[in-house]
Amino acid sequence: MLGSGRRGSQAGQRLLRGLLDLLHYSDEPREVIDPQKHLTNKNIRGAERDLNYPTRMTPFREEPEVIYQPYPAQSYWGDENYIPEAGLGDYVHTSRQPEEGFYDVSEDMDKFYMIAREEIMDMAKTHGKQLSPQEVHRLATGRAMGIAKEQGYLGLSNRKFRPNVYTQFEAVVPDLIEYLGKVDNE
Amino acid sequence: MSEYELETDEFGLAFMSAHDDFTVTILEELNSDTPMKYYRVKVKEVTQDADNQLH
Repeated sequence: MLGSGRRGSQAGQRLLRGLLDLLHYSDEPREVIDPQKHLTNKNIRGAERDLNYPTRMTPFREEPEVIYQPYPAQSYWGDENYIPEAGLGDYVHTSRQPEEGFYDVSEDMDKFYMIAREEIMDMAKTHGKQLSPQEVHRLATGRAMGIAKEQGYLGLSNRKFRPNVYTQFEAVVPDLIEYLGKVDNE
Repeated sequence: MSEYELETDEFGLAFMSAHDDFTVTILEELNSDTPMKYYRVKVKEVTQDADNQLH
């Protein structure tokens, strides 16, 4: 669906019902926001791509090799207060989701990060692998995200450090697609 | 207790900061070519798995 209407002004009512209007920006309209395609996007570079980098847990040349790649693909969304950075694109895709479906990583109430660290340290010990603190943290972050997905959360929130940004694990069909750019005769 | 520095995105920072096992201090925000924010942080860790890491 491609529309040009402005966002509704009933955000307060939606919040009372625990609903979020999440916005995803891109440089072209998309019928589906697919997290599997996020990391293949040419605009995603450097450190962000590193999240998905596989780690060999077994020593070099040892067979069978064990490759660990715990990061679950996610798409990134802002809420109505999110101010998009330049270059994200002029098409905004809106999806309404229940706020309770997002796991707040800055609280980590169920200690997914600690569980993930323990799993990784056990795996490293099993394979005789020495991990740097950087590697442990990167793998644990990805694994903790994966646990949140396994537990049935729609995605993640980060209320303390990035309160207006959310992620979603599954492909999302937007409720609305709007073009924010100028048309030729404007 | 161990102490080290690492680079993390904002989600990793949040996960780690959520737990008393870690005292995380942001040293600097790193340049990023994506909307995600990245930080170099100093970590003081009191968890037992610190013994299995390279320092």
